[in-house]
Amino acid sequence: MKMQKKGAKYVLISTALVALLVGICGFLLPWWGFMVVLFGLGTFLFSNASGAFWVSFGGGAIMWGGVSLYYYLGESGQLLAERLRVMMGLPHGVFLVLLPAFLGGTLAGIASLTGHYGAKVCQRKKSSEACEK
Amino acid sequence: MEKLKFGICATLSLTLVILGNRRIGMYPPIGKFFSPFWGYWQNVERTKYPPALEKKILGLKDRVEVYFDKNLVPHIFAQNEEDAYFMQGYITAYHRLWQMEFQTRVVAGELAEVLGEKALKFDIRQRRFGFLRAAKKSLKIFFQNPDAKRILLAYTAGVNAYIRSLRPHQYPLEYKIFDYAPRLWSPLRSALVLKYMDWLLTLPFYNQREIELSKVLKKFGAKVANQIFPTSYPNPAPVIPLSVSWNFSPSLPKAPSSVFVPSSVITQPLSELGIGSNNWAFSGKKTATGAPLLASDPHLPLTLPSIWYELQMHTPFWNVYGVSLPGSPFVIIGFNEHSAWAMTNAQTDVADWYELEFKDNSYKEYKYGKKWRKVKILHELIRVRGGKSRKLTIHLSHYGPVIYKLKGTSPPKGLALRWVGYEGGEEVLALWKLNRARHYKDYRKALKHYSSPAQNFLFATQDGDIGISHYGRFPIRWPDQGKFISNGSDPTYEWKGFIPHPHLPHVRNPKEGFVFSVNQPPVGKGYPYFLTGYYEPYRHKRLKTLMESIQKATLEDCLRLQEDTKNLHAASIMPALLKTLEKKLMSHEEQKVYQILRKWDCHDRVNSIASTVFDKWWRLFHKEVWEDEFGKKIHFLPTKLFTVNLALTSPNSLWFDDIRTEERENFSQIAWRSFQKTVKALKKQLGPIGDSWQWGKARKIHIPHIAKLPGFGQKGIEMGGNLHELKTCTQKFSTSWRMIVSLENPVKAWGIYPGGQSGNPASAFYDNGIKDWKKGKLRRLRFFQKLPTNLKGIAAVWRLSPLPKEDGGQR
Repeated sequence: MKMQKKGAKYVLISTALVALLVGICGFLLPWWGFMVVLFGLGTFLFSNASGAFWVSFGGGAIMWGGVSLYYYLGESGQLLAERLRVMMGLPHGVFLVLLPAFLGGTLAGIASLTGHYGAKVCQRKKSSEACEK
Repeated sequence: MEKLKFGICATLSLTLVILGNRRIGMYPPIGKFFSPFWGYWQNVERTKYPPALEKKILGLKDRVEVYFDKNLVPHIFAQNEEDAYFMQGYITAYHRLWQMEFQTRVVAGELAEVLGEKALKFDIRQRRFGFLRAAKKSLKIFFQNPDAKRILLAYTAGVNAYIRSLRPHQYPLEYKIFDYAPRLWSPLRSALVLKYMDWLLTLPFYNQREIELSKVLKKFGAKVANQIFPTSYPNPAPVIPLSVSWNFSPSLPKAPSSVFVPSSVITQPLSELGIGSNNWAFSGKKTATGAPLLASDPHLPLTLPSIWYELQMHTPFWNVYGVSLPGSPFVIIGFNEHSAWAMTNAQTDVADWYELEFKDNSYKEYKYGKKWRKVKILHELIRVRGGKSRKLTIHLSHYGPVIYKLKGTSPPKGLALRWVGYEGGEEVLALWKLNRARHYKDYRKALKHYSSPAQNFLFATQDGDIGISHYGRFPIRWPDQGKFISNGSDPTYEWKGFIPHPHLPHVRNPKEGFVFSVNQPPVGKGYPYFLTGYYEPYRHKRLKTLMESIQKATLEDCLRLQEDTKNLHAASIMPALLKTLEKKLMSHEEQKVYQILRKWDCHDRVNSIASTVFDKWWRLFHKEVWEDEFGKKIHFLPTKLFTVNLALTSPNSLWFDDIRTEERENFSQIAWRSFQKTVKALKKQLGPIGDSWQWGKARKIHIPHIAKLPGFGQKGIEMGGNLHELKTCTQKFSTSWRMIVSLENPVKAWGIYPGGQSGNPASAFYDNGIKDWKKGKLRRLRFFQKLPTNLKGIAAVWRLSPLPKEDGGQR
């Protein structure tokens, strides 16, 4: 059932999938809703921990950063970024794009990773139960 | 091992969600705030102007069209009155929701509920003053009139229709920063907005003044206190011209034989007096068009979003344009198809402090005449975000709330406040009628309902009438009553009713051909009642001279008056000050500064170096004269006018002697000493004499955000003008809505305010007016007589219609 988990193509597709999910969840669920979905995704999609984290990190960062960048470049984005930059004491307005990208990536990565390890714990339990029998 | 890793990751995930959902200290909840789907990015404007809209709204009775012009001013076309006010509420909330709610929290003392512990002290103060209680009382009176009730409810329904249409990601930005949600509006909130103005325009003056003057009384005695703080000055140009005579002679209360000296005073610091206003009108005889010309220029603390919201409301029955207060229905200052009106603050004292003597430390009974009277005890709860709610006990005397308990007094004493603002009036009805007024008699009828904050109501009509009324509820007092803290145990100190409406100062079409008010004393000596207050002594002289010199007034004349920077305070003292510098051995810099001052025409222009020097010099001089005697505990020094007169008439007065030195100083020495200090201080602050010394550059204006969020205000605005000139402008307050109306047929009008229609800091219309405002430019206001057929200059159209009740139920 599990797809071939190797190669650039896989990384690309799964990153895009994560990004898409993060985006859909963003519109439909509370701001943390995507983490629940990625937790689920993490339970089966990734073959190893670093894959789970980084692919999701990439997907999350692309979506949060991308949407931020879209607004930043839009009608009044830089005006807002400048005000918030001063409010938060940041060196440049573009941090209002970079910070969400980093945060979105981190949250996505950790959610997937949690799912990934969660699945492992369950598998271990199942297989040890099977051995006992 | 996997278990451990899972545990760590799961904990981390949960922690991040919880932390990211919460405000930590001053920081917004990072997860929610940085999420581009929920946070600040959802507040960017996707298009410059609001998109066109066709919508059904629950609560409307009929079709409504809204035309937004290129300055984002809504022109509301409704078929009936309720819909007009409904839409005023809806659109004001659309642009200013956070501001309107926040301001009511400020005045009511409900900030800690959303900002936490750090706002508690402020809330406690507001609760002690009891503005919420006062607003409730006002509302009760408003609701006694079915028209007032109908309008307040329609406005409320409009605001709430907008709030209900919002989803959390659409909340205004400040809600996201402070992390709370808007609550539904109610008529009480509108009453609070009006109470906010009441507070702003009356209490900061008397609240402080009587307490500070009582300190002077205690230190120097009644004779000296009355000498250095006289109640009346020679007054060549009161609001009501001296030519008006009064044909009534009421019996007035008699003053007690001795002045009451309070036993102890509190040492609260003085807040800077920072409001005032100009308005004037020329009669048709004195204008180029032959129609009256009215100008309004209220000075208020500058903030972003701006205190005003501009709009037009049109119904088949009336048509009004002007500025409104976000949160209150009606146009406050504006015009309709027949008339125009404007207010300046009356400045007249409408509040007195009473010292009460209590029976014991429970503060439950106070002496009144020969008896003990019980206070009413109220309990209030202040909710504190992230902390324990605070219970507050309020002691209510028959005068008003006991706001301060005086420490170290035996028997225990306290200060109670009597304030006209606590009594409530029918302001809503007054504004409603004023908005629809056609003729002079309508305006006078409207004012009958008005109580507080007292204002100079200026009015002009297409019929050719001009007039001004010093209007509000003024207590009847003996001369100088309420100048110091009053004796609350002695019934003699009670207010003896209020000046009846027909006796309030008022003039219609005076022979001068113009009327004006610039916070000067309302009346000359002949007026039978005693009115006192904190009045400005300089602007009225200048304005009267200028208005007299104009024969055929035009828009340009009015603009010139609004931009006039002649500083009469400087002009009155400058020759005497300069004389003290003659033959002095000066350093190179001092010599240079002296030469600059000698050439100065006393105009505070944006590039004037002399203005910077004079401003600093006066401040230091004034302090040098008085601070030695007054010490640091009295925060209210004798006025500029008194100090100037003293310097001109008695330069060897003992007040000029610095009691801290052995030498016996006079005016000349203090002036010279403070001049040297001025040059030194300015050099240190601004560098060598040059462009950096220019008034605009040395005194930059900062318009802060209402909640003082850094980056949300506008800094570094360079402008001319100062406190005592027609172009009134200090660092904190200035002209807040400039409007000029020519009462031709049809009415023509121009206006500007230092802000923008949108309260959204991400909008280009948040502060777009500042650019023109600081140059003294006005915009032509588009006043539609009927539904616009030509969409030129229209940025967006909203077509709204009622949503039938049954559909509404399903939402």
